[in-house]
Amino acid sequence: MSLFQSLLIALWAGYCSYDDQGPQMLRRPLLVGPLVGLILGDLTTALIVSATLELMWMGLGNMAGYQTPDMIVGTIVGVTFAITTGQTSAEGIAAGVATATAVAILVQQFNLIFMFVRQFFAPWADKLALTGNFDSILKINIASAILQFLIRFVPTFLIIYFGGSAVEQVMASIPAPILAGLAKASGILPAVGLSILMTIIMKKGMWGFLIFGFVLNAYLNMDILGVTLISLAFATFYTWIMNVIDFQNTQSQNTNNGVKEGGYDL
Amino acid sequence: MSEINRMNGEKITRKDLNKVYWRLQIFGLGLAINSTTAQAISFATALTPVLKKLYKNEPKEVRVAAMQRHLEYFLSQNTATGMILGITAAIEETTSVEQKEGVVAVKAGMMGPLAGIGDSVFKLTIQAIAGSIGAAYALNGNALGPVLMFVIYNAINIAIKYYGIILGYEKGMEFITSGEQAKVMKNIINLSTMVGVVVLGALISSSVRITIGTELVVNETIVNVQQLLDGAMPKLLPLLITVGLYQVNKKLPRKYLIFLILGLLVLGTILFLLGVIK
Repeated sequence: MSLFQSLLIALWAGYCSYDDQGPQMLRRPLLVGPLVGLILGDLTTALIVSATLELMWMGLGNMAGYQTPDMIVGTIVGVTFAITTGQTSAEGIAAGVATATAVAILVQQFNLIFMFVRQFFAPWADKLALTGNFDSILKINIASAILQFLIRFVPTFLIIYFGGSAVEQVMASIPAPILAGLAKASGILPAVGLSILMTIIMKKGMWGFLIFGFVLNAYLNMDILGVTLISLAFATFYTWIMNVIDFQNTQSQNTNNGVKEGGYDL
Repeated sequence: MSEINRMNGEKITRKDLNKVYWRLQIFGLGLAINSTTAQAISFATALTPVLKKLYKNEPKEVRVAAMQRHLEYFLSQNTATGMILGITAAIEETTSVEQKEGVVAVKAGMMGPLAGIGDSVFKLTIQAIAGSIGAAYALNGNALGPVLMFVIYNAINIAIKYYGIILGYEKGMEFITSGEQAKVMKNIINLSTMVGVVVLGALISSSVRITIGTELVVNETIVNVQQLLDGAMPKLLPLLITVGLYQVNKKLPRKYLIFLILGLLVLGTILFLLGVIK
């Protein structure tokens, strides 16, 4: 890969890094990965690897202080190596998913170091407050944005530009059946992301909703957009019914203290 | 809220609120995050256009106090913070210098509940639905996938951020505290949870891929196990595997997740080499 391509990809990683803390418009594998495919001239592989990672890391996000594996650098490096090392598409995708996982953990450690640097922002802000100049705290944001850009620009460039040949050698030394097996195994991985999401959004008594969606796709072959729209229609209907019941309950309670019936309190 | 209490008679305009939106959009809440004051620096940065307008003729001590007040601990969620900023702007405008402790109290009261709504509705549900729709296309190499995901997620996200500021300012306290609005919020959460779970069910069927390669010989006829399973129920294995992993993930601390992923990769590869899956 050329120096120019490596720099472009690293610049994109830096921008996504800033976006992750600032505008938060990208920050997901499927939005971060495809541009790398455009830079390297293989959009299809980039789309498939990004989508696999998107599903694999679906329920993950930085919540409640827990630092997750770094999805941004993971995705970018994963897509890059999927494209540069893939002899056949399936093996390339397996390579991409495997490197993405490893790199994501590595850069996660790196981010922890930056967390330490950020602790100096609070005393800095206190000092700026004493000036009485409201706009002075913009300085902290700009300094942080630059640091935020660098913490992913630098490792991404190093891994892609210098690590590329090493990764290719490792890939070449792995027997083909194992790579093919990895490719098949990565087909199961979306189940991990989906199951995490289940632990977060599934409330008691919601298995029926899950089965409903499953049946729509497995038996009726409805695509995801169709499932979303039909469930939106049903959910709106359900909410409306529940509101009517609630309303009637309050009415009857007002007259004869009627027994309250309700739907799921989700 | 009476006209008498207005700071300097200055009125916050739509233009000021637009500036607040752009600062929140460009700097977000995460850039200056730290353990001591969490996202306070970012919150103060976004609120600055309002403070500048209200305090432009005040003495330095008052301006310093205003900055210090908004540099106190704040932790919420990016999208939902739009509304907190709007409400805070309304209270800053309508309180006198002596009443300012109320501003901090109101902010502290709102940041927790709104963070909960923000995390469950935007970060998880809408992001997951947008991601699932996008991934379904992108897995087949269709470039429409990321475009759809970007548009769905950001249209909702930005609209709520922006109108949160505007409505939060206009409706002020009334929006959060009145019973009617709490009900609207609850309905939104219920609605997005239901859609989220249905889509999840469809995704289990459409995105988890596993095919059994084992063939059994029964009474001298070859029986393909996968065909047997398909006869029982299409996509039975993806459903069983996902539900199984769900039971595991309910117990497993999230930091061990990576071992689960690596374990599955190894197990899958071994099963493939043994010919159990193909």
